[in-house]
Amino acid sequence: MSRSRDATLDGPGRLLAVVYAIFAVSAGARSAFQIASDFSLAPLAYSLSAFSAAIYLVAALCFWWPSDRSWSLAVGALVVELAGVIAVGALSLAREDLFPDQTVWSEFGIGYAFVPLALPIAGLLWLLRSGTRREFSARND
Amino acid sequence: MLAAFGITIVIVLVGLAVWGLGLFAVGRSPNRPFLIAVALVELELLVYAAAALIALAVDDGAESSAPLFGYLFLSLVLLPLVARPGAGDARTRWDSATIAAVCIAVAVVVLRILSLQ
Repeated sequence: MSRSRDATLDGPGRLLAVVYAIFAVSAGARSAFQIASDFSLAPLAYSLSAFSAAIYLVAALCFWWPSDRSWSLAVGALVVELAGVIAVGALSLAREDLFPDQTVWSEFGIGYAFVPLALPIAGLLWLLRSGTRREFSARND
Repeated sequence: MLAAFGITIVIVLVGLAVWGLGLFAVGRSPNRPFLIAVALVELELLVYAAAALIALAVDDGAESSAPLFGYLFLSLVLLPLVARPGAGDARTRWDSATIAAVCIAVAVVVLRILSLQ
């Protein structure tokens, strides 16, 4: 089957794709600007923001173009994202000196109303439903 | 003046988000009045972006203009992308939720623009 507009997920998949795309663009643009303007100020924070933007982009693409492979990739990306939010969130509270500037994941995403923490949890809950995997498989090329 | 306009848009966007979530909660796809309201707020965003650019040109605030351009661009493209003009009956209740989420995102973008001005 050739890929068409119908290959895109409906329902929660579309919502997740849009939200992840927004985060990819905002985190990516912000980190690109920070890295270009003054990377030495907070190299760890800015690198983590760039990394989070890459994860968001991978997740958005997986939700937008579902297939067996993109389901596995999306699960992997969201597990890494969740681990990142928890690790960076805890580290930013325990070692403030490491983060002179905020990342998307600092203090568990408090700067973004904790959406960065809620997003991978909601995404994984949806991805791991049996019907979701079937829906991804049904959209294979 | 521009700040008051921006805050008004944020309030309208939050109202639209609540409306969209209400439609989602009762299992309805975006209806015509909701989509007209989305189109009107997009028009407001266009006027606001034009006013912000004129203010930037007059104030010569070139130093912080790169993020401002990015935020203005984002504020304009998101709603048309998810409102899907021409989708017709293909929309579902999840489109209501998606538009609501984007309304919140655009409201945050406008707040960021306000913080730069």
